Amino acid sequence: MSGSNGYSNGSNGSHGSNGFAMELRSVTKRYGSVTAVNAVDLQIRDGEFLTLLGPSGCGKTTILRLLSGFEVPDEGQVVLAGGDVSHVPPHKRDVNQVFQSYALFPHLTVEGNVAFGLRMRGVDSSEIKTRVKDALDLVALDGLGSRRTSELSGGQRQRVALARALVCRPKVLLLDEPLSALDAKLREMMQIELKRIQQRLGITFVFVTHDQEEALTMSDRIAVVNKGRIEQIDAADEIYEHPATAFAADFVGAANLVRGEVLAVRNNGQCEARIGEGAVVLFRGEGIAADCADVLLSIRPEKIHLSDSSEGLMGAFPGAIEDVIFRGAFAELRILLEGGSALRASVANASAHKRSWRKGDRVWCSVHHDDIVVVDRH
Amino acid sequence: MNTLSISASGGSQARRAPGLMGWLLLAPMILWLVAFVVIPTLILLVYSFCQRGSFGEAVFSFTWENYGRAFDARYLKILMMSIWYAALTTAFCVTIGYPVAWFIARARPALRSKLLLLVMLPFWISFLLRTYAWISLLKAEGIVSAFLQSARLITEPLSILYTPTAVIIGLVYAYLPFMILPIYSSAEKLDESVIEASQDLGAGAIRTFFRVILPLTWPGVSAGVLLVFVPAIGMFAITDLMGGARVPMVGNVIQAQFGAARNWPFGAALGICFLIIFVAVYSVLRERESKA
Repeated sequence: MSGSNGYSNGSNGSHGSNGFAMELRSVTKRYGSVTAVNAVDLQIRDGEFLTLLGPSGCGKTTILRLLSGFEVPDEGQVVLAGGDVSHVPPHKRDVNQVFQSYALFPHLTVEGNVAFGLRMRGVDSSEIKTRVKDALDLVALDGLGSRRTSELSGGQRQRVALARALVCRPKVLLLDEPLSALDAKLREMMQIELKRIQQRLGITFVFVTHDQEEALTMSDRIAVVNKGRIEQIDAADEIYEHPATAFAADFVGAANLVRGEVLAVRNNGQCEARIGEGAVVLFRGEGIAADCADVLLSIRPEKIHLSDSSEGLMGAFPGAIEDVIFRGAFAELRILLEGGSALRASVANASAHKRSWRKGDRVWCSVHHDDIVVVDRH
Repeated sequence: MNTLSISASGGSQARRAPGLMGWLLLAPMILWLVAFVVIPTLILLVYSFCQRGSFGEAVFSFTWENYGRAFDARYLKILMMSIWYAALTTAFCVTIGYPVAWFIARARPALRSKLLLLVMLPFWISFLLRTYAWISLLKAEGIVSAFLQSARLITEPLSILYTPTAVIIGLVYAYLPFMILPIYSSAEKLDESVIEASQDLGAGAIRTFFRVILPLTWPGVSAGVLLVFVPAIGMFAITDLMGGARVPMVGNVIQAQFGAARNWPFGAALGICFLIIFVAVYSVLRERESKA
């Protein structure tokens, strides 16, 4: 197998639409009185692996169905390769979907399933044959073409669903939680394989999941979806390091969300806030007005450094270890600050020489000012 | 005939011997089948080779005469007409029943059970009563005729009672639920996402129906065909009442042999021929299903 299997349709950047494979332009979708998707703007770049990440009921599946054409927007536009497709039915859209339940045709063989889309497009039979074979090779199902779908394992069905969609060479491939039915081991394997296939074919993937690890593993960019809106869209590490909202901070990775009372906003953009009695932290406060009273800060547990003395530490604050949970590679600590608020910290289990923390220990905590992110302000 | 077994699909589970308990549980059904199906059929078979005595009694002998007579042009024609009427009935039942079954299967669950009840409601009223109701509806001075005349759709009184049209209407009416129910049961099991997958892959509504929906609901259709076609060939009450004995079908001929004509051996031979046709239809449908 080589890159010459003709999947990459050479469309990258050729759509004449600013390098966007697909766009939602202030799209709203309502079901009765419920607004499932609320004025969402989304630009899907050509050839990227974009993940829509959010809890169930957040609207991510509705966004996917707007892209595939199974839902028509109440307001706004769906744009594919520069053209408005808001009212184009699914069977006339150049996008394909991998369904959550795979939705294989039980009355057809594996080959019959994969060939279905090509037959519908009137591709001639000799080409169908080679393209089906290529597609089955691509997902490592060569030789299983004549099987019935009922004879396949969950992982194999998943691959058939993938081959069936990819064989049509869609401009965008939509994947609706395709890995959720697989066991953990297989899921991990498929994550890597999906990413590999996507990179090789250069097809734009839009992947829906509620699993943040899955999103972090595979995506070029992640769109964090909450209550029918996209809260943040960025590269995985950007979202992790600089969450834009409290929800994004909490949903992607673990986060301490702490309320801080603003004490001072300095001229150099740094800001001081009290997060507990005797606990004042320093952070980058760009854009924080001088009269801002309250901020919500996100601090990742592993960014909290612990020490048994405050010596040489700037802005360290004291606390007491309330609980220690051993997790193998790291330990999770719950630290009670003076004044009653608590922080979660995680400490790498780096070496046997290192001091290990025990319940009841007094500690000094410090956080680098870059690792404190303002997610809300009042 | 155990026609419903055709709707049981798959059968991928390993078969196992019933065991003593199994046979005990099956015993009532087996006894019932032997006493009321196997033995009567054998008696019928014996009768079919007998001769008719001068007083209409069966005289034991071994003759193919009855079968020879069954293939007489006159009876063959009646048989062909019966098959034709039954086929028409089946075709109408599929065309009317399929959309109804589909609609019920896709309706909200609360509405679904109400609609199913409506389909079965006619069974609560005597079959004869319902047939007489049709007669009074369709007769020349009946309601339908009066309505069509007042709407100026027809000028003469309606004259379809005691014609093949009336018989077909009666048959379709009587057998429609037997088509709707099995189709409903397979349509209800159909996964919505498979239909979406078909659309997603470029099939419009019509191709999605013929390439995905119909193949996947075929078990229901074929069960419905069996439940309608086979009994429709042999039906005699509707043909008698609504056809006014002017539309003879196989069922009427057989009934006449056991009744007025007092020729049991010939009736038995016709019955056996009929049985062979049923088995043939059943195995053809079975075959198609195992291929699908």
